[in-house]
Amino acid sequence: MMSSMLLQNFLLVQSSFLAVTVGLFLGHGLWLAWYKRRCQAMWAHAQAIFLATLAGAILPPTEREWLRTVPVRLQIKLCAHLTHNLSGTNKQALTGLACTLGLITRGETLCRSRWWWRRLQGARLLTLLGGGEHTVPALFLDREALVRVQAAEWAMEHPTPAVLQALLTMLGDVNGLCRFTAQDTLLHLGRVVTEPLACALSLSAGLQVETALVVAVGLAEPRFFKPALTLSHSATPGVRALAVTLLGALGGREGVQVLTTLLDDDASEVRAAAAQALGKLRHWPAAAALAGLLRDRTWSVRREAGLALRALGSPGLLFLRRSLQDTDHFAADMARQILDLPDTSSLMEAI
Amino acid sequence: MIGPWSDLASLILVRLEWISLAYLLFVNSFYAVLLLSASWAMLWHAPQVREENLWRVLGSKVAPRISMLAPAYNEAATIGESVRALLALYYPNLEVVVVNDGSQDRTFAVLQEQFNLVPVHPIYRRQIDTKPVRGLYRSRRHPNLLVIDKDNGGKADALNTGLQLATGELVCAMDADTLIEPDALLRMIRPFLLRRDVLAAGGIIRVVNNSMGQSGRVVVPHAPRRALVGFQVVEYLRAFLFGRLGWNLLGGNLIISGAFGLFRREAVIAANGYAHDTVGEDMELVLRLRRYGYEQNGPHQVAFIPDPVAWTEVPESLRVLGRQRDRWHRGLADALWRHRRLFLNPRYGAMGLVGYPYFVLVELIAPVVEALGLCGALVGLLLGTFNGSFALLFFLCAYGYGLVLTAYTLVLEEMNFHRYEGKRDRLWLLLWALLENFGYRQLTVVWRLRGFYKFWRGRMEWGVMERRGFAHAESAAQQQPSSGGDHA
Repeated sequence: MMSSMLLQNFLLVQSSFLAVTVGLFLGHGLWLAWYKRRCQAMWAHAQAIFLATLAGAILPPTEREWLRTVPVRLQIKLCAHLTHNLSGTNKQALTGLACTLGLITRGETLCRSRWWWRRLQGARLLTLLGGGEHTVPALFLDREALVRVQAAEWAMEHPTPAVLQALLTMLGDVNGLCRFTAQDTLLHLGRVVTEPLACALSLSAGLQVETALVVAVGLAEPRFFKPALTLSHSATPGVRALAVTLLGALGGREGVQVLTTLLDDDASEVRAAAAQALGKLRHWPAAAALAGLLRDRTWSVRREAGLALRALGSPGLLFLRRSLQDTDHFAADMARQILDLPDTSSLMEAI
Repeated sequence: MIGPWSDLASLILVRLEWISLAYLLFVNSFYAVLLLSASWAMLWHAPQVREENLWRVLGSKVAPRISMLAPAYNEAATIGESVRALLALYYPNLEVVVVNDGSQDRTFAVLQEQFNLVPVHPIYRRQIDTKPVRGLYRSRRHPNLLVIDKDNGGKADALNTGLQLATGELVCAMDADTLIEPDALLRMIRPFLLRRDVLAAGGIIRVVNNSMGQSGRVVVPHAPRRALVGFQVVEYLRAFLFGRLGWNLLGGNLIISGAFGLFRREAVIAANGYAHDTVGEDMELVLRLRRYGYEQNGPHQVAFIPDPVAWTEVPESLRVLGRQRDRWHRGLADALWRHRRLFLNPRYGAMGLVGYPYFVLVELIAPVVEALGLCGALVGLLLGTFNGSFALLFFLCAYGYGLVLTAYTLVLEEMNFHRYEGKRDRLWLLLWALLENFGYRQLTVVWRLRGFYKFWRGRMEWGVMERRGFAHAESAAQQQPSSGGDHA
């Protein structure tokens, strides 16, 4: 009897739960349909006003007031819809309009919220619309990684010295997405980051150097040569390998000397990177040393050495042919694979 | 003599029902925890993606390279469209690797005709043993398309070959007939960038049957009108939005669907790739990867992300569905048996102490307990040991709980994604959710029991999956199961 009562009560609770969930499911569907219908008409009118303003028309007060009555979410959606296709004065006009509607102020207020998702929303809004020069830089030090990431995205349009410094500091962030976004933003900013990045390469350490080197390799500015030379002697193999890649991208007599020395490095990733760099620079005097690497114990080094020899042209191909007779089967096999590559075969015929 | 036997039978039946009840309580309590976990994960996830600018990643110069691995076996009818859809995915650093697994139809010829293939000879390292590669080809029209022509060796073998020839830091394993939404990779990459300890990530698989497709993409999703497909839609939603999302906070998932998953390539190669001798190679791989990660103190987390979507076709006949579920259960049993060392082993953290035991105690043996409970109740009613109204109440409670869970999953779907937008679609979904527990669920119990029995007898064949083709009847194609598998 007791258990029947218990089950009945349980069933009652379940039924109530079920009723609530079904109600929520259907209710949300109905609300969504109503909201869409409502927004559809608003969207067309608001878009027309936005486009007219962007075309240079002066916004009449009545239209401005009407725009303010449009739900904020719709205003933001409309701005987002337009902003990706705009640049220069048009983008400025959109920012001005967003300012008039109070969206920039809203974004700045959100950026100061105590809740991370609101700060994130604010930073996203300001990235979209512009503005936030006084509020967003503080978010570079936010405790929530996603907010820091958004600040780094925002920095793309605001490359002030302080912001650049914050981005360079973010290259050493504990969170991978922060480092990734900072790298990406710096690469997109291009030459404007050369000087601060060169300084950062000379001064920073640890993870920050590795991520900074990736950016430097992407930019490949001659200003990075000295830091690259210094970092090619770093104690960390990963840093040495990236410095070698950077030297390969920059070239120069001194660089080539260092690269040739690093063919004997203890770390296989450094040897592979050095072989690749020498091949890229087509430094044929290194052919003999590269041929020696065909006997390396690491497969990736053997492959890079073989491909580098191929890139050297005739001198490299001579060494590759000679390696076919090598007593080391791994060296002979790699040489055979390289020589079998279609492009190599045509080169061989040309010789 | 009848008296004592009858008493004994009653005693056994009552005990059996109490065991069933205790088991039900345990399972339902765990489901409640999963439900809370899924809700929390969704609450956390929603602001992360709200107004997110995915196009920024699309313009990235440092995005890690992703290789899409698409094994294909006798897929001449759909391969062209599938590959074009893959090439059109939004991702800045993408490579598409199609592995023709010794097809006997015109699959390779179609690829050659449509993509202008030329032979290439990349130097690669053979780290996993696979069937011989006949040739490698790169498309002149799409330099990021690599086609591997090899001897037939099954899906696992095709994937292993692709793994070794791919150049991406990450590889996305999929079925050649899966439709991936264009922005899915931009979303899938998130956990790999956020956390270093993530070695694999999975997205949601949705059911494409009855949805409007165009150029290899799903344009308008519709809730199916056919009961069998409708039940599967609801089942998939529950499995992903409630099950896998819930596991994100409880020690990570043990399954990533073979139809759509992203892995760190080096980790998969280090773990020796996909296993050939199992029908549940996707789960087996995830278990092995995670186990290897724990043992090497390397990355060992698996993340489920609810917004990247892949669409797949589900069986429309009981016969094919039964074979699929039977195979899934054999795969589950096999993977769990191979990695039995994990059971309650603290060395493997939450996976050993929570995830693995859950899969054994709930996913694996649930059909056995449910069948015992049902049979026991039936016999008890026949013998008059049980009170009819009590038994009815009991079963209403048991199945009602499942109904509440399913309805809650629909709410999660509606509040966060609302993919099924029409009023009728919502009503159909609700109808399938309400009816799923009566008949269909019991059928799945039978199929899973059959799978369990077959595993016990050591049978590991795949069976044949019949497909009607995405959305259009004219593109109907029948496929062999070797590569175009079907997974949830």
